[in-house]
Amino acid sequence: MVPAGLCLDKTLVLRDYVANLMNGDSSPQPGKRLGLTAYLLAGIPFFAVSFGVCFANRDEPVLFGFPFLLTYLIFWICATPLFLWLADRSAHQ
Amino acid sequence: VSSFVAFSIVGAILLGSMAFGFLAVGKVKMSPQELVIGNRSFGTILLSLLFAGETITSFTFLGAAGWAYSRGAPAFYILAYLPLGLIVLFLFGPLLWRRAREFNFLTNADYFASIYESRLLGLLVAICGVFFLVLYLTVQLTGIQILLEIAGYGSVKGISAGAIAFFLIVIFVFFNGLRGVAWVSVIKDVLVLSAVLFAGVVIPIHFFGSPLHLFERLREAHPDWLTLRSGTMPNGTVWFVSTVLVNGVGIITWPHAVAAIYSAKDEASIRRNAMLLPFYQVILVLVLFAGFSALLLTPGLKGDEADQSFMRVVQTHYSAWVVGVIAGAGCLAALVPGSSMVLAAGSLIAKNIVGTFSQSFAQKHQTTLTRISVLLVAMCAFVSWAAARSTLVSMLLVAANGAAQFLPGILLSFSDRRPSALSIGSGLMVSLLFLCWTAAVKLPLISGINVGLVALVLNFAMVGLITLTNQFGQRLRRSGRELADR
Repeated sequence: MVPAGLCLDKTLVLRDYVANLMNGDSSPQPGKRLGLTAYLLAGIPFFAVSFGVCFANRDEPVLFGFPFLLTYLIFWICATPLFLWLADRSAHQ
Repeated sequence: VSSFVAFSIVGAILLGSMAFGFLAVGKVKMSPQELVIGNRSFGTILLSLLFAGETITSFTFLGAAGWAYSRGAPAFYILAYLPLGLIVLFLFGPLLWRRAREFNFLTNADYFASIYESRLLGLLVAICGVFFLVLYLTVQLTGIQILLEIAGYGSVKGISAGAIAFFLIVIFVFFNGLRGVAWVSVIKDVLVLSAVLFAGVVIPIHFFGSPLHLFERLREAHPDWLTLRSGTMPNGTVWFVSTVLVNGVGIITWPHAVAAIYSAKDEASIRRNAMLLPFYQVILVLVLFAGFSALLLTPGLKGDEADQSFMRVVQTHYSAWVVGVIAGAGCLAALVPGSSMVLAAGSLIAKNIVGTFSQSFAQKHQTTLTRISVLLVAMCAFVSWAAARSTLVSMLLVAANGAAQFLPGILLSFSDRRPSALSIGSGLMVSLLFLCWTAAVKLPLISGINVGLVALVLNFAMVGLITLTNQFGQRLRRSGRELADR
């Protein structure tokens, strides 16, 4: 059983989040300061899609018929949001 | 008949999306703030739409397929530079926005003029910015021309049709500003998404059975097509890395991208937008599939024709309404970023160029002045495009690499010890002169490195050199004074 209060909390958080996304009447959020951890986390995909390509410039191993270079890039495009999200989490208000 | 069907669909798409934009914006009171940067009120969704609208242009649409067709793996740079740009946006966009809001900036030239306390530097940045934007606009015009000629099945002159489409959107911007552009992006994104799904999924399945077989066939026909050449060779890995870096930083240096950053409601919206957009950009992979399919289906297109490759496949194998929808989507992909470019260039002229000479006049009539400048810029881009296209093509690299040269001025403004306006200005001038020289002697690479990155290094070096000379001079003067005191 989940306590009722927690459920209410969660729906409220979700509603706030959606309102924020849709540019509703929610007030602007204060800025954050990114620390070293955030820069390091964001730096990982940054180097992967630029300098990392030198090491991924291969056709093999072929996955789903895709050349490895393409798989590598698709992987990092999809992983970028994850790293940015972690970087955002690591920052304090 | 085919050309009539395709053309009416393109026309309906353009008019429909503009009507949608008019309705969505509604009766917002137009101030310069509202016109140019949407009153700094865009939340994550509207901001993401705007950024998606600005980054996925008709070049990405036609050019990515064209590169996949004519060069192969080097086309992957288009996949790589967008996430890189978003990481840069995530890290530095909020800092840029914070100052813009604190000092009420409208343009990227405002930023330079105010942070470095030099209206002359602002003027220089504004003039360069307008020049780059006009050049970049001509790329979009060429995109529209290609699409309309395909939709016309050879019976329509692209230039005149392009002129109509282009001025339609200018009128739209004139009244609705950046908010209108962001809302039209909704339709643009939906249409581009369906066009890309069609081109990248339906075409490979129709002709090869599946994308997997497409790659098998491609490996048989062009064994070296799916990897980059090594090291410093043209379009090799060194070129790839340098091009990705130069293009990626564009997301915080292009004047119209800066305006989009200013339009955010808060810093969190900018960060969230950077986290969301890679998921949208991954669809560009499908455009590459379309280019590869075209290579196997209609080989032998040379030069500029490569950009038409997958549209030609659609034109020969599918019915006119499909051609119309895809051409309409492509036209919107040119017009949405195009309109934010004319808006940015117009505001640069009104606020920073006219404003330098007569501040009171520029302030009093800012909205009108911005609107007139928008018309002027559009006219200028169109006339130069119609008159001197071949010269423009060689200048384009100067614009694309030139916009990245604003980077030192932006990045160093965040540091505790800001360089002087003189050092930023001379760094900018040196790198631009260098880029013009490379364009004049037709030198796109220096030992495999994209000249844009070389120019950027020169730019930073120049800033450092002048800052050091300045400090040395100050120290010399101080010790001279101490000696005299003794």
